[in-house]
Amino acid sequence: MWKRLVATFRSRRLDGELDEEVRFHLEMLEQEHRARGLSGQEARLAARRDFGAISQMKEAYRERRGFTFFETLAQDVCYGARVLRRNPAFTIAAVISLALGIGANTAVFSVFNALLLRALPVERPGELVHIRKTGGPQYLSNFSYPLYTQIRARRDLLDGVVACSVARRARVLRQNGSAVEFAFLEFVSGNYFEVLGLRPSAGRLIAASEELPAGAHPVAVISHEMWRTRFAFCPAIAGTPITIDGKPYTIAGVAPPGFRGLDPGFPADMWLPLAMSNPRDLADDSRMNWLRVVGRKKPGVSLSRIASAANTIYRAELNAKGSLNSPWRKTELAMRAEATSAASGVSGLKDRFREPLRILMALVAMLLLIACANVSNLMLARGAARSREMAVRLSIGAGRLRLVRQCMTEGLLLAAAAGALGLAIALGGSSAIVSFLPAGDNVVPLDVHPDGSVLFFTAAVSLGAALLFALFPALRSTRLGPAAGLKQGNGANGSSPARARAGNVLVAVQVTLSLVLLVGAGLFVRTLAQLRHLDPGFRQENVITFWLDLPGHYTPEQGRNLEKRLLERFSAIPGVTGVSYGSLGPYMSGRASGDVTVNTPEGPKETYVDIQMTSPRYFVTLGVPVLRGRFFDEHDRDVAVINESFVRQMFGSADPVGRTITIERPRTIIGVVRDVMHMGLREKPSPTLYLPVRDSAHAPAYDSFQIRTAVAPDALIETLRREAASIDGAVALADPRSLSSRIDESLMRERLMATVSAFFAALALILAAVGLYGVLSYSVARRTGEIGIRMALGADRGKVLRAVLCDAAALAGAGIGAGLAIALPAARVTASLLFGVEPKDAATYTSAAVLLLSVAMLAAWFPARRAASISPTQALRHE
Amino acid sequence: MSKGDTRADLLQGTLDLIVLRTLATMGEQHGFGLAKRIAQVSEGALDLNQGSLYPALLRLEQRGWITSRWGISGNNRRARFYAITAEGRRRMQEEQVDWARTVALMQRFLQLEGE
Repeated sequence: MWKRLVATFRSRRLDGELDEEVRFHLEMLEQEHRARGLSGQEARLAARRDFGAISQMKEAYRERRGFTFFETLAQDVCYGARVLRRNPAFTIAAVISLALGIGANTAVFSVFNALLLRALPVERPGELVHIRKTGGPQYLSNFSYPLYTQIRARRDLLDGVVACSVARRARVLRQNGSAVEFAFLEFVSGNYFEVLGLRPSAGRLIAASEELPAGAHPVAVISHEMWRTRFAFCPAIAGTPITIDGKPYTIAGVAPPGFRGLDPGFPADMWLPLAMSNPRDLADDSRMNWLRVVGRKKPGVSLSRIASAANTIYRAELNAKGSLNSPWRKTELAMRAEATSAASGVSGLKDRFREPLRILMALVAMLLLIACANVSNLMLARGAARSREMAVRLSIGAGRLRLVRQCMTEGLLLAAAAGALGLAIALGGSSAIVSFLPAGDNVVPLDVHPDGSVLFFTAAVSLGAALLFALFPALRSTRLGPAAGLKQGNGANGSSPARARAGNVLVAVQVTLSLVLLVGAGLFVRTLAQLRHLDPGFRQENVITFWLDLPGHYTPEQGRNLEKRLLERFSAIPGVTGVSYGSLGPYMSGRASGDVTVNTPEGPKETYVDIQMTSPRYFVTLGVPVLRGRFFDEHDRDVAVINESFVRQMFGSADPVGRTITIERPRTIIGVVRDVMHMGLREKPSPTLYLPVRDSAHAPAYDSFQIRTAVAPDALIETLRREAASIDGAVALADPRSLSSRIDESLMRERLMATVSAFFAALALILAAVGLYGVLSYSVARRTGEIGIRMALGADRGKVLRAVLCDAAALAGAGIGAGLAIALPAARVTASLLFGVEPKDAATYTSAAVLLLSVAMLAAWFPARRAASISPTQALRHE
Repeated sequence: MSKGDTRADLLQGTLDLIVLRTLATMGEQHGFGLAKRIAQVSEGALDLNQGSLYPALLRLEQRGWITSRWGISGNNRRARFYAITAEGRRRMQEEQVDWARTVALMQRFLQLEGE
């Protein structure tokens, strides 16, 4: 082998030697013949005769010598590149179709990779295990601090267990009174960096001793990114004071580059020890489920053992708290601890987008197949045009394998060009997809830069595509014997019914896949439409919502006073027609609930309901009608308003107005309002209790404002900011946005699926139409003579037109039939993502089929008209 | 096709042995000399394209049975000379034994059938 390889590089010299040997041999032969009395010319010919075919011998010699692989490859690549350059139309068409397919695949894969595959930049990420509770609501899936410490104690199963809070926005002041900035911080256990095996870029990281006691360790570790962007790599970073949420901290050090916490969907900028979080959440009896728990698995320990150990701990705690009220307890009892690999991180986005991204991967794979079929078809057509070239090459002694290889090399060249272009397309495409993922202000979205695995994926997909689209035409176009190819002469007509059949099959496959894509897109688009047409219970247009971001030193009372003053200021702004505030507000991603005792006609009953604390004009601002009684005003104390669901559940048909409801103290129900979907359009409205916000003793930390405007909401945001700052410069509006954009965001999964799948379906439709057009044009060209004869014999133009259209309809029909057969069972996987539409929705399937058929007929119309306009005399002369 | 195939088959098995044997008896030889010698010995019975000798020589060299070097021919021309190696001689012995056995076997059958 080595010898052969060396020979490859020496081949030029070796070729020269062989030439010399041959020349010597021929001259000697020639001399002999001349000695026998032949003339110079005769002697030379005789010598040649004796020697035999020189070029074939040389080919065999080289083949033998091992020049084969690399040299032929170089030859093939040069030749292939020349051929592709000579046919720019073919090359451009092929590269663009492929690049679209490869680009779409790479784009979706980049997101898939970033969210679900990419390993965390920590030591041995494969050992990390995420322990959480499943089988209940998302907000109960994390653990309390006491439970975390119990899980951490299982050293027999886990080599260290870390805990971290979900990243949250914090107000940061860099030194002497600079402007307020925002950064995302996580509270982490003392062993966090040590267990993850991370080393500081500067200074030191958080130490195990800093986990407790509460409030004792005001230190922060910042991300390498934050060090770069906000501190310009200041070398004296360790020891720098920084104000976080109004409290003084010291920067202890910088995390290693690339590390942004364990949640790829929510990168953190700063890490603070648990000691600096709310002391209540660290208490021995804390039941606040706020910590994500990630452990490092000991070798040989199974995930299920870890899960059951954690579950035992969880159960024991549940049983110890036997006095829990019923609805809450029921939910908690239904949950179980579960352990999953955390190699690629821990993110709520994973659960929400795993299924959609998988489906999108399947859809783009189909798109790529359609593109491949298109290119295959182009290559077949060109193979027919090149049949003469192939025949000549076969007849002068090229092996078929050699020609197949040549064709494959051309295919690979196309795929390489398309892969490069596809990568460029994917860069834009993946950011477009990421733009559908949740991102408030200042959130750096998912990092989808093309890393090694993305590049590898693109290369593999391109290669696979090349094999797929090039092999078949390569085999086909080299099949004919040399004689047959030469006889046919004229390249354009050098075609066979077999080639037409192959083209037909490819087009039918394209139609099949397009139908599947169209059905998928149809289902997702209808889901989105259904949700959009759903009445959320309030008027969502022209409402601005935001959280109030108060400096840490505000007391609850100061906070309430500030809210009142803001309410007055905001109400006075021209263009504002209604202002309210409260907690949590609509679509503010949170839920407050509690137990209440209701004095029903059948006596007191306990129940568990959602609770909204609001200011008086809340329902006016949101435009929600009061159905019975009235809403509370500034003077009401100890009153409550309930929604329709509440009435249905607790009072049936009885009138609730005037009855009492007890939460902390008895309150009188004074009104009933319409059901409002506060959380998301897909959620069923739940029984909700509205209480005056002024009755609340809590700090307004989670309060949000709702502002109804007569003008475009975005235009007012700056004015609102100015007004707030004029009262207190330290007060900020967090994430001010229109309510409709929040609702849109709550639909991001549906929007992602509808938009992206519709886009892919449109691409598929175009590619399939182009494919059909190509095949029919080709078949019309091939049958020019036949059509001419039929017309000469009296067939009218209409008949010819119909015949071509019928062919197209038959092809499309076959594809649609097969597509329906595939789509019907396949659509079941989308069921969990749909809303208001069945996976078997007849209307979607019918419209997809009709749309596809119409596009097919449109694509067929042009070749059909061309066929109908064939002049018999010309056609026959052409023959 | 069929005629060419028969000849090629014959050559495939025998050409190696012929070349080895010729080199063994004649010593170092260039390609032309070898071809000429083979033609002489076979008295024209072996209708060989002299060119097809070269891929065969390369094959033998790759297997280590012969070796080659550039030298000056009888008429003062640069030429490539081939010589048999020790391994080539062993191989030749084996092949000769095989051949003798095959020939003896065939003869016995042909005699039997002839009687």
